Amino acid sequence: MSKIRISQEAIDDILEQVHEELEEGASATRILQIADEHPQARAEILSFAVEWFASDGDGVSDDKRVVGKTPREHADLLDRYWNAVGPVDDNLVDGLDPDRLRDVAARCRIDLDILRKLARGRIEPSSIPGILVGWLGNELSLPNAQVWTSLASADNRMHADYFAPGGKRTGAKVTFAEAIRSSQLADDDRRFWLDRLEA
Amino acid sequence: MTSKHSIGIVAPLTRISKHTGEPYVRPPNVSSQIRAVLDLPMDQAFDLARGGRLYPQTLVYLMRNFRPNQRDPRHDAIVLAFFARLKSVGERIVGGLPETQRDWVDGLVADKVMQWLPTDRMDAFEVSFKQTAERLYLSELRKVRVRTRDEVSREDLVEPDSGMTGEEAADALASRPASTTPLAEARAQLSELYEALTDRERLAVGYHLELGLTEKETGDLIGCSDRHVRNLIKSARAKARGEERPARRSAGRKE
Repeated sequence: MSKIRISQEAIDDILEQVHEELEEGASATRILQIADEHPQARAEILSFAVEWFASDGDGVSDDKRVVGKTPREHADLLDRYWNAVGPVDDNLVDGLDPDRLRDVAARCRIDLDILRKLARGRIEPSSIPGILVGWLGNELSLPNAQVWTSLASADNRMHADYFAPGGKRTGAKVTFAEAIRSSQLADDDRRFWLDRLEA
Repeated sequence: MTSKHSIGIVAPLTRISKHTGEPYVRPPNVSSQIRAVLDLPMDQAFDLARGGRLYPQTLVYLMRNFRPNQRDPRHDAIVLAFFARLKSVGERIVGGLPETQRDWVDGLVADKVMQWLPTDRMDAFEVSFKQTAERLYLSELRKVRVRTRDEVSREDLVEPDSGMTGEEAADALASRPASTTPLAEARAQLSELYEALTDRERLAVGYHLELGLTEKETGDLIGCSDRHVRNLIKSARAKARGEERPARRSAGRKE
């Protein structure tokens, strides 16, 4: 039999198919058929099916709310996670003219002042509703992940913006609710946000 | 309750199933929960996720779409909640293994997830966390078995058989469904018997009786002789009949 090597990624794709079909009611005949279609992965397919068969099928359902035990060696796990994910482009509004920024702000039910505060890291990111992240992403044609990364990483730019030689550096952040309350937003926009934040 | 203002802002899944050619889709209840969670300030959303009060798929969504570029305690807590949940699913599959093998499988699963993190393979967790976690554990368990199959203890060997063939030994399980019957049905029917079997007995039954492989093929996959496969089948048959078997050490059988 040919010993053509098959990549682990290809094996993972095949096993995903096998798993789906087993969960949907595949017979032994069907599993053997899949194994015949992929001779380079025959052993993996058959052994996966047998392991699946030997498992009892009961597990932690996605509907069950669970707080699992903190993994051992979690510090190492987190180090590996951050190395694996890598940095994300955190550019949010650089290069946009004021009219465009004003339009984006209005469409997201905030104003230009609040948008600037967000971009400069003067608003605590964890106080921002996720819906605003999504709206900014839609308006700026950016992935939500990039928008959030930008908002949560704005600390890096904040001090550069507000440093004045000989002057006082301000590092104070406000919550999004505080920014809304102190803004010049129209009443309906103000209420829209405060109803959510104060619920 | 679905927030109408959140409609259209949930990042879509991008992976296409190699099997069906269709894009991955979250279950409706998960999409609805994500939209509801996005109505909240992110610290409340993170608290709910960390506290296990959201679907695991929603947890994964927050982990993937709300990550800063520098270390952050709130995000770290969500990452640890993800791995804790992953391990909870895996415990049902590897809980009966010796601790060293269990840790080995846990490590391999974590390695695989680390490879997946920057890719759209993580979409699978947002479709079904349980099924994806199970698949990872079953796949990595298989690899650990292959690497340890030559370490069979002599105590695992049963007495020499009396000349009975594997085919004859299958009569206790003869009420098994035909090979066109869904394996899920057979699994449910045999679940009580399987609880009494050792890992190697389960594998022998699975390969030889359920998939119909020969004793030699089964032995090659398990890592033993065809004679030993016959002994394993005989032992499983005896248990199916409720016969007592001599005590033997079984490294992997769950209590």
